[in-house]
Amino acid sequence: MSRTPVPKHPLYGLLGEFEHPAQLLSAAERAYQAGYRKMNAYTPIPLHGLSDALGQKPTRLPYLVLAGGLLGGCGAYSMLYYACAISYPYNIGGRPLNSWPAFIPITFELTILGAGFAAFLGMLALNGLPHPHHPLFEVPAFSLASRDRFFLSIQSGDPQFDVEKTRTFLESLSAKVHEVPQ
Amino acid sequence: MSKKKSRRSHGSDHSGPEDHAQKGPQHPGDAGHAEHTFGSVTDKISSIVLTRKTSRGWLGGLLFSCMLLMVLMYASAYLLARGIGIWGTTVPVGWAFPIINFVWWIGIGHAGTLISAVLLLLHQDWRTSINRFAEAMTLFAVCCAGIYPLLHLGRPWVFHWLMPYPNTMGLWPNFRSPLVWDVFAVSTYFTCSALFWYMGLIPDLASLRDRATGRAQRVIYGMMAMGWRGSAKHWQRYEIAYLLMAGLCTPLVVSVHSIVGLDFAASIVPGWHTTIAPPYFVVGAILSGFAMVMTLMIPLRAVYRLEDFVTNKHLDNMAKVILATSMMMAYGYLCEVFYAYYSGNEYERYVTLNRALGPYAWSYWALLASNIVCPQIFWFNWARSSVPVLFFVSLAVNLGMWLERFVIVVISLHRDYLPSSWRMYYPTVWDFAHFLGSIGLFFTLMFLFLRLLPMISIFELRELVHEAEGEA
Amino acid sequence: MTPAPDLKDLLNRIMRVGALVSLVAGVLCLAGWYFWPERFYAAYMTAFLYFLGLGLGSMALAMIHGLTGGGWGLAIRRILEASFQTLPLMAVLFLPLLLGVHTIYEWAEPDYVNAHVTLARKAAYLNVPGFQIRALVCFGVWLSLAGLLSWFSPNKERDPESPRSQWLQRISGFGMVLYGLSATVAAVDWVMSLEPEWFSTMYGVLHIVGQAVLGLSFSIIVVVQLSRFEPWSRSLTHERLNNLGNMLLASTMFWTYCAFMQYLIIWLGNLPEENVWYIHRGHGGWQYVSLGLGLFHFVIPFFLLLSKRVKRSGESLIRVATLILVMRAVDLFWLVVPGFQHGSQRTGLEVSWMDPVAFLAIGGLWFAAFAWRLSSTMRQPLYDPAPQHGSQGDH
Repeated sequence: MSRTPVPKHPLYGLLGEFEHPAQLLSAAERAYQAGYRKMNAYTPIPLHGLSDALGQKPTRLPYLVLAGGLLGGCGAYSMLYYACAISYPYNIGGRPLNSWPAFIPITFELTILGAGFAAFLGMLALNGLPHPHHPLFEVPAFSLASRDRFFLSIQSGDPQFDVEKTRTFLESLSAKVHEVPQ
Repeated sequence: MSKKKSRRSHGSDHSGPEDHAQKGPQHPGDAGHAEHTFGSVTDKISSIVLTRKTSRGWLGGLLFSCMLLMVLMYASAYLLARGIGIWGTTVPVGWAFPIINFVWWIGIGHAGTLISAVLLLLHQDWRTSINRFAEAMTLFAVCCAGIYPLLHLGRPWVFHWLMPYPNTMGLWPNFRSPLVWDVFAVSTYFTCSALFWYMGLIPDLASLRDRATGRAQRVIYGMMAMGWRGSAKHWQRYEIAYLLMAGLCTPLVVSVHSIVGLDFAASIVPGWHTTIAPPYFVVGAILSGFAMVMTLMIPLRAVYRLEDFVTNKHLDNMAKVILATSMMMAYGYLCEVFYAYYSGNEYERYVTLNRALGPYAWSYWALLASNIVCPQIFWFNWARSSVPVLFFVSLAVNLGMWLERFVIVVISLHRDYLPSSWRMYYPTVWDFAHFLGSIGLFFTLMFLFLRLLPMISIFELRELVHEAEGEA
Repeated sequence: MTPAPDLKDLLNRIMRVGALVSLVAGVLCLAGWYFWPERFYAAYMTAFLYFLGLGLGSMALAMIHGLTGGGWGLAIRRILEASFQTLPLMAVLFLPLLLGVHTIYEWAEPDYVNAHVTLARKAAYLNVPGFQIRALVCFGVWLSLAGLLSWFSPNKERDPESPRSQWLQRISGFGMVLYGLSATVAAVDWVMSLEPEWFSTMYGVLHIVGQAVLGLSFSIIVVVQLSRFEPWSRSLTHERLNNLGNMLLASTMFWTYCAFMQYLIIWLGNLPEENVWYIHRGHGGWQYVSLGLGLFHFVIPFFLLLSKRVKRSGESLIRVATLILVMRAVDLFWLVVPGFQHGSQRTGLEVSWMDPVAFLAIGGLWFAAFAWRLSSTMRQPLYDPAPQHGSQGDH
């Protein structure tokens, strides 16, 4: 556990453990209806509709990837144009200085490279990874989140959070409840 | 641990993978996970990495591969000391084994991206059991391919001159040359394949971290998993990123081998300068890649008892892809012959005759036999379900695709426009040493991968189990 | 199942109007043929290839679906069938081209061939009897395939193990091989040989991909239009529409790839016997057509089809598909018409009144035949999405 000065709440939150994806989905919906907002679900597989149930917005990643691709492509063509027509204009095989057909392949490759980096790094950055330690890792049962259990965490930062009430709420959804220390 | 042991995907048919092979292609769910649960697939695949004892077979295989790798090291050291004159490559065949091997390896690499990206976009769920492995194959094959152009530079230590950077000479690479495009294509391909592969690994690395038995395992896999928690938000972004990567890799893989094809087609050497070269090279790459996946998967699934995951259905589907691409190759060969005649150009016509009847005619006919004739057996259902036949045909296609590049490179070059400069090409022992050595590098990396990382995507298998449960 | 009454009315109206339009335009075409035979054949061939491509492309898609299965094909299967069942009509409409060989092709004149050494070298292939026999074989192959595919058309049984589906799969497999070869021969004989000394190995592929793009965008438009009517609205889900949109994106990209690679290789080689083809299409106004092809056949549809919103809405998908449908006509015009301009007649880009009229003449008949076949194929059951889990197993 952490040696940092004790913050406002001794708990990071409560963690409900479910056995079946359908249970988690309905629990997420119920929790959202009950007014909880600072919560998250943890699953071994991507579950469709889970993000919506938790009230999460769609990701902006596709725009990042588009921007990365455009940057790569425009950068590549500018580099080729600069190199062949401005920096070192040279007649090679009677081709025009701005040989656009010959510039397409490199432009294409660098478009993909830019978009690919944007997709990978964008995914990591938006997800806040790498993030080697997290309070949830202190809960032994959480290791099953990468195997076959489905978890719903409600954080102590949520205005609705109250250890006893939230615990009862989670238990009413037939969850096994764990406390997550800060 | 799990209470879901009795869950089955498709009613009561659980008598083995053979039953599933009978199902039609419309049921992507039946990749043969009849008796598996979230827990059991996770445990089975991760145990291969985490708890399974290092077997003698694995050790022996690694040792043998390392020996071959030493051959590569030795040959490369000798090459650096003596220069590329140790190869048989010489005028007029100035491009021989190195480029043949380069194209061969790059082609093999293509199946990985194809299986993981294209089949993902086509919602072909049967890819799940082979995509991780095929992606790893891609990376290692591109590593092997990369060696040859570098060594063939003659002065590999100044390879960075291929890159555009502001240098003291004030020069740029010739951006109008397909060989420079290759630098961009292959390095982009390697980078994107590596990113795609690693992205696919992250949730599985988290699984390994959580299953780890020792501290070292936990720390190393934990660092590689980067704190993945599988939260809803993580998954949401992850799925989008994975799909986008697949969407990017699909045109990328086509472009890479097209540019390899342009290396030849951009010149005006008879037999090379043909407009169908780019798609024809891409199809050849798919053919050789699928053949290599099959060659490797058949022994692997027997050794690691993965018949539940890599079912006969998978082999059947791969055989169909091999048959389809082989027919497209046949179209390409026919086109070459027909257009050589139709062009009315005497050099084009001579190259075609020289392929069929010249001194290297054996390679042309052997290539037709192994690339076109052998796969025809896959029209029959029994052949697609017979493991020995599948294995034999996949080996034949691997050989045939190597010969195909031999035919293109050597036959066109050894007799082109000027009969006074015609000359035969003979490889030296160093040519073979580099070729065998690269196979050693490939298998060394492969053996390490099998031991250290999950060879089947665990989280995607869990998804399949989940879908199968939804159907039941 | 019989089509809903209002749909039946619509199809009947299409048949009547189509026949009427075709009659009027056909008379005009006859006049054109009498006074300006060369220009008439250019217009007629463009229109003929367009509607032949619709039928052949639909057949190719039906065969691909027969091999791979998948929800996208189930949604449009009946439309594809109606479309390739128009091929007998196209065989009849080929007769004017068969009869006009001597007007259309330079290589059909022995004097011309003797004066050109490369033509003399390939006279064993490029000659009138050979041309006629190969055309006969091509249509023989296409008509038999169309017949077999209709005969083994999937009906109520969805079981992929039934003998009927097995036969369909086998026919589709062999059919693809035969189609690839025959479509290549047809492209070389009918279009490429308009410029008899020029050749490109990509040419057949380019035509095949063009036909697939044509068949796909046409069936997308029809299936969305038909979704206003009862049985069809069930068979077209958002998921299937999205898949069709993705296929349209992929096939347009592949067309662009093939077209650009052919251009790039000829540009890089820069050999006089090859680059002349692009020089003819890069001067005298044709360069704007080339540019337009790049812009409207690739760039704009590409960016539109990237968006999931466009692919999931029938309305906007129709707009993109219509653009592509129009650009296919422009592409064929660009491939065919410069081939008719020889030597001093090389006047550059000019559109004749016969170009649209030939489209109306052939198109009227074609649509009438299509509507007739559609009302007939619909008597067989449609494919609805699998009942329980629409999206997962249904691709």
